[in-house]
Amino acid sequence: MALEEFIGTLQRDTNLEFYYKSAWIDSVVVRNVRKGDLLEQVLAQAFRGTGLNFFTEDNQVFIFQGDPVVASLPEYDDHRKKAFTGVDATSEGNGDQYMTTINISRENMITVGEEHANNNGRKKRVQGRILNGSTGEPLIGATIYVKQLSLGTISDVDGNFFLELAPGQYTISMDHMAMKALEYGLKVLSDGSFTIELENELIELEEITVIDKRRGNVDGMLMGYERITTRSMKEIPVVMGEKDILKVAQMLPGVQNVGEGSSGFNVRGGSPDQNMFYINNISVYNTSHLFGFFTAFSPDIISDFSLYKNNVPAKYGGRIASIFEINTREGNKNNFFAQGGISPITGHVSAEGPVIKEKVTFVASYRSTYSDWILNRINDQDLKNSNATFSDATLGLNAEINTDNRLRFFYYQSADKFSLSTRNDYSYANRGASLLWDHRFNNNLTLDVSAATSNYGFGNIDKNNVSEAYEQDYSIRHSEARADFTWLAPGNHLIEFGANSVLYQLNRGNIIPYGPESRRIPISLGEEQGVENSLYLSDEFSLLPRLNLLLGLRYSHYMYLGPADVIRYDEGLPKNQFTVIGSESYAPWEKVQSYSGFEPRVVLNYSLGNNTSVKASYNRLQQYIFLLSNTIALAPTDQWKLTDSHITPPLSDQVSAGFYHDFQDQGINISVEAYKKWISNVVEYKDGVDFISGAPVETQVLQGTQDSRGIEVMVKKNTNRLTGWVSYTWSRSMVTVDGSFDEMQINDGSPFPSNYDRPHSFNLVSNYRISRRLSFSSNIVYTSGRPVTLPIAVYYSENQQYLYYSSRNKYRIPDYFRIDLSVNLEGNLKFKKLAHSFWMLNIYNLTGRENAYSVFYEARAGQIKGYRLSIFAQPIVTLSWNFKFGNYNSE
Amino acid sequence: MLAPAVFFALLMNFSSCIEPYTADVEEATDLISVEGSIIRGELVQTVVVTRTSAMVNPQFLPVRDCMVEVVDDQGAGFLFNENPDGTYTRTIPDEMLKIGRKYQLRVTTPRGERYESSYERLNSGTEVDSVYYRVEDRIDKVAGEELTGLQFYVDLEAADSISRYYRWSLEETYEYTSVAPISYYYLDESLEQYYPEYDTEFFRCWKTAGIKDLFLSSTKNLVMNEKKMIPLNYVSTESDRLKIKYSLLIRQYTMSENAYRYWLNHKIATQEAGGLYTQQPGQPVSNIVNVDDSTEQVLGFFWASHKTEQRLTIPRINDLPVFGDPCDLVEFSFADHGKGPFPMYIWVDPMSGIRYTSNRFCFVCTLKGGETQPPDWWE
Repeated sequence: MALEEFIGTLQRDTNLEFYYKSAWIDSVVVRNVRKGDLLEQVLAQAFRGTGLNFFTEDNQVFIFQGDPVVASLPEYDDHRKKAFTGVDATSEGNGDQYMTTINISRENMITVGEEHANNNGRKKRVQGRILNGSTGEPLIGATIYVKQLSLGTISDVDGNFFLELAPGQYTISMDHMAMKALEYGLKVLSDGSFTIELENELIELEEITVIDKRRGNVDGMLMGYERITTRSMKEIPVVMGEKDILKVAQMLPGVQNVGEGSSGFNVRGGSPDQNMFYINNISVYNTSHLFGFFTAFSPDIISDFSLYKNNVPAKYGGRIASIFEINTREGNKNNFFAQGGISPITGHVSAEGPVIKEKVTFVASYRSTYSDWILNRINDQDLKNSNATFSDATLGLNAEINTDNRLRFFYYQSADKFSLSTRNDYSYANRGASLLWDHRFNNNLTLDVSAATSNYGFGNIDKNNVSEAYEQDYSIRHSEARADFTWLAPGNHLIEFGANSVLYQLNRGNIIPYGPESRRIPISLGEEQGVENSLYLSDEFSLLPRLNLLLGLRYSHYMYLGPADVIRYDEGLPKNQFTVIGSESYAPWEKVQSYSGFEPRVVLNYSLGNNTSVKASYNRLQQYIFLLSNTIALAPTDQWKLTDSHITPPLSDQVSAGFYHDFQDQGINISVEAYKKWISNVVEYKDGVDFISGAPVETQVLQGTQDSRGIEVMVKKNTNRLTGWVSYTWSRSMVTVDGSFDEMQINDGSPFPSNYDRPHSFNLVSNYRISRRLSFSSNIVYTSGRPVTLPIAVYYSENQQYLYYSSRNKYRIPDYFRIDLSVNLEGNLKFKKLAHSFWMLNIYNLTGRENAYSVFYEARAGQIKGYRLSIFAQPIVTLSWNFKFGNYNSE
Repeated sequence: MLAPAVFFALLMNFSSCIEPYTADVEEATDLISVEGSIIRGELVQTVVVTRTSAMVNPQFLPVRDCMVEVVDDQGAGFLFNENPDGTYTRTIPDEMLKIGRKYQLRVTTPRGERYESSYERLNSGTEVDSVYYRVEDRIDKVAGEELTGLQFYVDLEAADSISRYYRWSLEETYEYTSVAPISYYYLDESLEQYYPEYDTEFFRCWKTAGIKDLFLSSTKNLVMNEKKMIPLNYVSTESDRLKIKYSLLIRQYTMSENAYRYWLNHKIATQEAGGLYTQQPGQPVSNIVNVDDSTEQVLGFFWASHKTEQRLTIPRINDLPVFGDPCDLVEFSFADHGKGPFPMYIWVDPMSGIRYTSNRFCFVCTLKGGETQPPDWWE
């Protein structure tokens, strides 16, 4: 019997409590235990030759490594359990390298600085670094709390945190989601630093957690912000067994999409092109596989993602609805580790490990479809001739040059190919690479520098009509350099400043005849380029004891650059072929048009007590690129286009207010946020425009305003067996395009709901852990139906019916409701076995509800009838199998 | 673009489904629609003035007693006459419709509202280049059935001086038979036998009907005014049409870009919907206005065109099994059929002497809309 199992039995059946580290006893077994054996005998026998020892006190059994010395328990006796488990080999072992400044005693006392240092009475700067004990990776968002001062802070992306403390003795606790909390004595003598490693929670499987990074729900300065770790989304039910971070994101309040299986989504009433996606600083312009059924990121290597719906940090800009920041794993510093799995659609593998132990690590992943077998099963000629494949791959290298310098490289690509019988061939691909250098000047000042470039392109062959057949290609390159400073200035000012620069290079491509019989007129849509430069500064500080303030300012400057031929139109008249009065040519790199502006951010956080706060914020954002898309959902052939002499950059102003409360004992966070957003220069399209006709874009688009508002309520539970969240959102998103001429209006100039205006939205995501190996998860999703323009009247001509339509998006398709369930079964949990596997059974749409994907009208023999299309009209059951080689605990 | 999501759903065998849907739309609309045309190549010109009806109860609501007139840019005018069905027609010989002239429709309702179209130029037409078919399979999206049948195509070849915008209207004629000749029939429960006038009465029929679909195409994106394989109608083997002989009359119309856009909007709204990759339905832009109230929303379009025709007749295709309309013969018994429904038709198999009956639509071919005499041109 495994010792752990034995202990489990004892803990259940007796009043004994055991304290130990899983890793120590993982391979330990107990043999021939008979009734009447003394516990001491059994353990002593089991530990023989393992280097493990134990001692008992009352009903508590402490297992530890090393000599059988009974440690003198620290004076803060209440916390001795935690304190004891904190005495581990790693903190002692690594101690050598920090000999000058740190000294962790048997009594769990960290001493910072030197005894005889000059004590001039000022506060001392203490820098700490928190690492994951099993992977050596920095722990982001760990909370550090100084008990005596009721003072806390949170570790940054590099695991660092800073405290200013008067010399003296303190108790500090360090905690991180998914890690075991530690409590230490801290003796501050002078400035200094120390490093601590936290261990994975002893009894810990994957759990659903939504945690706020850097800033807590109540204390932090962020609003409209969510961070989700891969660990936390492991057990969320998914369709067809594919883990998908963007599908998880759509369960968050304020995130909508137009229909299941469609790509792109809508954040707080914004269109899909108002979201920016970064994966390790690489911009990703198409985040979906197979038109949106899957997301173009392999979940294996993703560590977490952050979504900023509001208060986008000053260092980010360029999109007015949200910034999605995806971080990948950095690789295990000590051990090689691989994982993978198969589902009905894809196979995926990833590997990571040290290249140079403790210094250089790698992470790599690959995922690909093998779904053609499904196509071949279908008994239809049209479908048999179709095929759909996709793949994505990543490679990351991470070098810890020294304690002050870290270098990271990341490569990402995704590709899709889809051929629809003999009619259309689509292909699209993202490709990008980034280089990041993190530098620490001193304890208070750090610099992150990065350079990244990415390319998105698509191709389309349309063979629907032999005479009209054409080939189209398109590409956009986004190259970005940035430098971000973080400075912990005296007086606890957290100051961030820096600059970034983006170069956009678009080749809108050519429409060329396809096949010998095509008579298509070749069209070149032209190339365009633009550059966006920004500077920013933000300061977060405490204005009053209970009032924290974040002030940020971003200045962006955009230039639309030649070569370009710009058509001039009669001032004040609609732009069309009849109002052209001339044109001007610009040379390559010549400035054609520029736009610039200040984008302020303000956040106030007023604490109403320990666990309650209210916040308010204002935020302005501007964007210089948009998507030409006049279909309801994003299509794979939608083109990105730069703002230019005629199309002005969309601008958003958002105000919001919120209330936040934590029930710390239960691990429950509550947030209520209300927002209102005004967007000007939002891009809309005239009826029936064709973006490959070669007509100037300014004659096809119209610009208007958009008003969005909403209230988002969310309750999260992060601890114990039942975890997850429940959220309700009320929101509206209305567009107005009211030009001075009829042809410059949509919907007669009256406001209309956007395609993704879904007022009510409810999500419940829950995970219930039955045991360490078995857990159940469930999603419940409800949203109002999406708006639709419906025919409201019929008239006749030539014996045929014709339809007269309502004002735009006046009606809605039926409401959407879905329940999903998944069962996750882990293989046995021995820590050091070579391979570990787990099964996931997913049931998507458990009740088989026929949710409307769309409502449409079709003329059949002159009679027009309405129909409702449901894509997933029955429960979809999938079983997927995943494996891990190496340390299964590594997420 | 065909909705890829729909396609993908089918592809993954997701058990997607399409079901009839009635939207809960309660909106009163009482708009006027004025539809009409001047077509060179057609003897009788037609104008229809109607009011819209609700979606739930579609009705043809003609506006009667209008004064309907078409004038040309030279001042000539043609007054239209009202027909009992509420349409307005006028016979205009081709010689009086001149290529290059512009025509305007003027309608005055009994309430005194005056509607006028813009002037539409009568452009010359071009001969139908060729019409042909291919045997193709397809999936009926709504019914979810796989079908086999004939897809008809038309090719275009016109001089560059001719319009780039085309529309086709189709009329099909086909010969079919009932399931069996009528040996005798019962009219009521007395079960008295009546005999048809002659052995094959109601056995052979010829049906002519317009195909109610919009067929449009344009060559505006093409180097030349030529286009191949423009799809027309699809005839599956699941009907009687292809059983004996099928004939398709193709009428080809040239038109202006505005007229094309108007019809294309209608087509997109009712024939290419279903996915999220479709555009918002745009309201077709009418070229008719209320002269006294330009804010009134008027529906319909007035267009001028030059029509040409071609007919394609195809005999039964040997290798193509045609299932026809489902019609099962069942053995007649007084116990089962003595109570009707009447009239009940009986066919006596001359070989076995067994009496068979079936649905009356299967015996009386005219009940399916055909006539017992072939059209004059039928061979």
